[in-house]
Amino acid sequence: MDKKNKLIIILLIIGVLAFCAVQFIIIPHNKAMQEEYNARQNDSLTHDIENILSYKSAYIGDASNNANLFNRLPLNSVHRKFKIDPDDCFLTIYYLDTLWNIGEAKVHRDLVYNSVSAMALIDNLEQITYEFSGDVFIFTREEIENLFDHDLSSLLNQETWNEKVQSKLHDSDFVSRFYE
Amino acid sequence: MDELKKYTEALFARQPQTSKVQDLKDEIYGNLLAKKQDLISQGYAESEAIAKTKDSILSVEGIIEGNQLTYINRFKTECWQTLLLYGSILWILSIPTIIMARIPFSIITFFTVVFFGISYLNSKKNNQDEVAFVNEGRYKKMSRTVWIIWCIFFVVSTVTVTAVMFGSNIWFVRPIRITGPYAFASVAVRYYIPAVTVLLPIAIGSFPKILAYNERKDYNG
Repeated sequence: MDKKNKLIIILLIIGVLAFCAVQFIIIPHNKAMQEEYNARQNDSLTHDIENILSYKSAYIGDASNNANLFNRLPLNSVHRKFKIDPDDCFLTIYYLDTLWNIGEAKVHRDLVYNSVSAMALIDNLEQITYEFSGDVFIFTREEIENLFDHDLSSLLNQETWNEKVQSKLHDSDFVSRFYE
Repeated sequence: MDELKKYTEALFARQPQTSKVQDLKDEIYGNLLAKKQDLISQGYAESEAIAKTKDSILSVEGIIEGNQLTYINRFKTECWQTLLLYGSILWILSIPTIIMARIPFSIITFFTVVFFGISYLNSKKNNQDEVAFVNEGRYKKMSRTVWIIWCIFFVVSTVTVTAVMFGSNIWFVRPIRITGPYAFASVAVRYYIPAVTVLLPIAIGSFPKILAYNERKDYNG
């Protein structure tokens, strides 16, 4: 009986230590890592493509898939509304903010990134229009494919994506070609 | 119902209603009737004969098959201690699930440990030398029942989790994506929680062994 009691006391001590380690070390550490990761997801230069691969879809008509996809792309902190035109396979996103508030350079870079991501993942998406208060930007599949010089769905793995898409967005001249 | 019949029923009131017990009950009732008749034939008045007959057998605990004279409080204390031991292991195993935001499971196991701990300490206060008859079959049956309930729970929860986690993937023909260790852990934890509760039927399953260990062996019936 005494042996069992000793074992119980040892187990309870292990339990208390494990609980403290989880509560005061592991959880705060994970939380900080998650916050850092989330912050990276709001920037096209550090966004993780793996985070959106599950939203691959053949059709633009899946509204919840579209909304979830853009929740995980840069500019996800800006309130927005969607309009889908399934006949022409067009998507329009109304951002409820101004370029001036968000930062023009960031918006330009993130819109290119979001467009290439969405078109790579949604097979029949032909055109995306982004409307801000006072500004409208239109991206077509043809234009995106020409400038990236690739079939977009073939870019969808971490290495190719980093090399062919993300690294190019560091170059502001490359980004500006989408706005000429 | 005559008085000896009522008395016989009272003697067996706490015994399991099996066919063997029923046969024994009939046999004892027959013996009591015979004894009463014998006493009456010896010249005792009926009421006196009945009283003497009743005095001849005060309990049937010792003659029921499977009944074992046991240090009852030691047995109960060790049962609570075993539950506390396995409950503590279960609590430790539940702690990593907090990381996956499965906080209620950890809270439940913690309060289970508290409950087992209080029950164990209370049980220790009782007279540990007290003896009573305990039916080992009852505890074996309890152990089997708990295992059956746990198996049903485990199968149902595993099937439910699989249907909820992967049902839509199968239905909509989407690939099942586990993108990293965190995604794997969030799936695995749903199977892990029901699996670790196996410690409870293991603990309860050890009760018959604890009962055998606490038998008062110098008793000869």
